[in-house]
Amino acid sequence: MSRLPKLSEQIQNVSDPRDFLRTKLPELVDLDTLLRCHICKGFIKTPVLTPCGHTFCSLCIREYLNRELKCPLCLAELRESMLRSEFLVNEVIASYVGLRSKLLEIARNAPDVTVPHSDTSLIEIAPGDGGAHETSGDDDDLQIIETRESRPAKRNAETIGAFSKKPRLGSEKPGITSMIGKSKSPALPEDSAECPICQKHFPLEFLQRTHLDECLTMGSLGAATNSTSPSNPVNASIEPAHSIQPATRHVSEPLVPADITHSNRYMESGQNQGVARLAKLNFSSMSLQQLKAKLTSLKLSTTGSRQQLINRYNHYEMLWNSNFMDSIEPVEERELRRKLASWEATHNSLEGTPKKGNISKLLKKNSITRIKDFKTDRFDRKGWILAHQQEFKELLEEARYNLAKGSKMKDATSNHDVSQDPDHADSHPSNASYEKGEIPSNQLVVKTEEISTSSQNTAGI
Amino acid sequence: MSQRLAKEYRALSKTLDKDPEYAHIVRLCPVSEENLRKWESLITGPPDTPYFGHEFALQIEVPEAYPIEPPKMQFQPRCMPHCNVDFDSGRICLSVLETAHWTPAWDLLHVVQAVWLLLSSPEPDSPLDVDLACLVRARDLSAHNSLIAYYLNGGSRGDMAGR
Repeated sequence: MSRLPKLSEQIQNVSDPRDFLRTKLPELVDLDTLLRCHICKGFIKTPVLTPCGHTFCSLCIREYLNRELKCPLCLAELRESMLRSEFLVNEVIASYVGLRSKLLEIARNAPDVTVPHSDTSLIEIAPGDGGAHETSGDDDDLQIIETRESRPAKRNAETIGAFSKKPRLGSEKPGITSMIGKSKSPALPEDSAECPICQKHFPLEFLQRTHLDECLTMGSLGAATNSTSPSNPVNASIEPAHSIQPATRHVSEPLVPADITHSNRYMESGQNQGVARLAKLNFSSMSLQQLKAKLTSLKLSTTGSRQQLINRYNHYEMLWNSNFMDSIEPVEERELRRKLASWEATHNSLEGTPKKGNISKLLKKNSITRIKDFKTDRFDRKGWILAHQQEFKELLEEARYNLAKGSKMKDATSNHDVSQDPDHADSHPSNASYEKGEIPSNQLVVKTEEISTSSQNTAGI
Repeated sequence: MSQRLAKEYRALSKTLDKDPEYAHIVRLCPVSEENLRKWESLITGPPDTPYFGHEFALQIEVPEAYPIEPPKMQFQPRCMPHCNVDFDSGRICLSVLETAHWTPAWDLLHVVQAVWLLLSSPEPDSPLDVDLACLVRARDLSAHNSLIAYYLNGGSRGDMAGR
């Protein structure tokens, strides 16, 4: 994947810790940096802890450990079996990611924040800013400790004042009083709108510019944030990451359930039982037949060269173990197969695959851009469906033909789903939280992949 | 993993110009807007070395498996007389550029920084330029420095023949 269109535009969408540098809360640069994986530089997804005390994305570190058996940060010896999942960090990061755009917004416009009804949170955050903004950025560690300590005290603006006085004597009081004075005056009425995903109200501009993206990201990170049932707000105090909550609780009501879910999710998390770790295989002692049988038992495609089959198994093993061993909310196997398919499209090219309708081949025919989008789950699904209507139809035909030859009931039901009009598919109960038009195509991709896999399997056996 | 490169690019565009710590890195950016896999960098010679006052271009190629694999980095051919740089090709002998010593926690800025530091601390025990390495080993600093200055100021250097 070497060509990227309009780099400057792409770069704009990339979040970076230094987004906070020019705001009133530059200490957040440090916090933002800490919550990122040192391998992919993104927010840590499914964090795992090494014995040497470092945290990475489960997938990143597993991929690296396939090559080198050491910790990328301290070079201590490290094996996959030593990794332990960190549910708390997972929830802390998820809740931070959910708050980030809002934080950024507030930190940028601190003196005249326009988040509706947020007078109280304004008081609490603004004074902290003022002081910290003026201090030298050299002592990042110190400042971070300060913010952490100051969080529980946020309700009390005077405490904050005392805090921020430490780094910068004098001249603080007028700042605070003016802040309070300002925030006590009624907040400007702002055009607000409801987010179609989480049903919360936000200022229109904020909603369009940042919130929608965040909301979608959260949706794909873990559907739990969306499908939340209102729960007891008192629990919030348990979770340190949510100490900002007392400020927002009575103010912007909708935030509460989402945040509660993170702590609830953490409280209810436990080791996933029932799904076995996928073992590493000693390929040199396996025949091609055994390898294919193994892939078939995992419902994976058996096309391609021996090396491709090995790559496929290795990557799937990584996805599987990361999902079922490390993730707080494991996804289904078919989602893993979809991830595998998008990985293969870019990393495990299948030259001369005879099967028509193979998903990798479908992807290959398209521009690199599309492939990239597919990989990052950000591509135009409607456009994709339109562009490939013909292929999907053929796939369906093929699948129906195979079904007629006597496949299992399970295939029949999944096939039924595919044949539905995308607009009707949002009545699908388990996916009710997804945006309309979002999931059907998603499912479609999964299903087509399944279908092509199963048709290959039946052909191969 | 080009998402990672995009992140690095964004981070660099925010830090590089403003941070005086990286004043010696004139430029570190992709060669073209379309391709994040090819980068170039321009560094100035460190003070108190014969390289001071000169600028050097680095060509950087980022493999598909980055950051699991290290980036490939070299000087322009026949531009860098240094005991750990192959003069004719520009190849650099530096541990962090080898797969065995690389870790994905490093990024392109780290590597460029490491190359810059190499300029002021030649390592004669793994030489790619034997002549200069001999001078370093013999602690003949003035000969070493003036030879480098001679090459940098347009002095001709024979091809493979001399070595």
